[in-house]
Amino acid sequence: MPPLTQLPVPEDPADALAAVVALRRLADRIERAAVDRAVDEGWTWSQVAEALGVSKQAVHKRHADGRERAKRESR
Amino acid sequence: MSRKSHAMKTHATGSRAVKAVVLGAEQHAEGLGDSSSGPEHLLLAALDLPDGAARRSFERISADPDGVRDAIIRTHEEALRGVGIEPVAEERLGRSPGRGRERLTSPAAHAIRLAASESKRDRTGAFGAHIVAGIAQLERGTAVRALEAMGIDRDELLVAARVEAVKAARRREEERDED
Repeated sequence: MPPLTQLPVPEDPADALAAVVALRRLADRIERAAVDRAVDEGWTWSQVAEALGVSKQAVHKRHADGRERAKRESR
Repeated sequence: MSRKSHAMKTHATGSRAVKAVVLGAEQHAEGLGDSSSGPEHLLLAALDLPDGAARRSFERISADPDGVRDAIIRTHEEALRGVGIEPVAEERLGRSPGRGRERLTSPAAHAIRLAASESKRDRTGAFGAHIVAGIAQLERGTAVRALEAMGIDRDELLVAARVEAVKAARRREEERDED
């Protein structure tokens, strides 16, 4: 991969926005997987929030509720 | 059957189909690793409906309905390549479960409203074809780009979906007459 400063940015706004959509989904997936691993390794929600640079409430809303629901459903 | 009860029955079939499509879209979103249901997931769910009208809309214009999911994945991959990033292999992302919050995005809600007006217009109750017609009327976004990647003309797809909606209703009428 070229250095970040050399990454191309599409000139056509439709292409650039499609890239934003694809980057967001990729970031979302990396976030979910990493949060799962961190919590499984014993991180607290406060630590996860600090690492992501968001509030504990935000991280809870985004991850904790869904994780608990998924766990309940898989029982 | 009186006109009124026929309309009510059609409506009942319609709302069941709406639920099936929304639920199916959530599952497709989760399966693709997306955190909300967009028009592209609604489209995949419509193609799963048992009446087959959505699938026939594609076949009518010589497009492969089984190619839609791949086209969606390819669309995201191409978009990443556009900013110099090679797509990350699925197995490297790990299988982390969704958060059960695959809500409809605003464009997906818009597509459903468009499908509902198709439904109101032809009263065929063929909601799968109506979803296809709704999505064919969108102008931007992942679903549109995926259809473009498949070489599909959305105006042609819209016409095909409308024809298939009517044909699905006729087929149902015939089945009812045979009973």
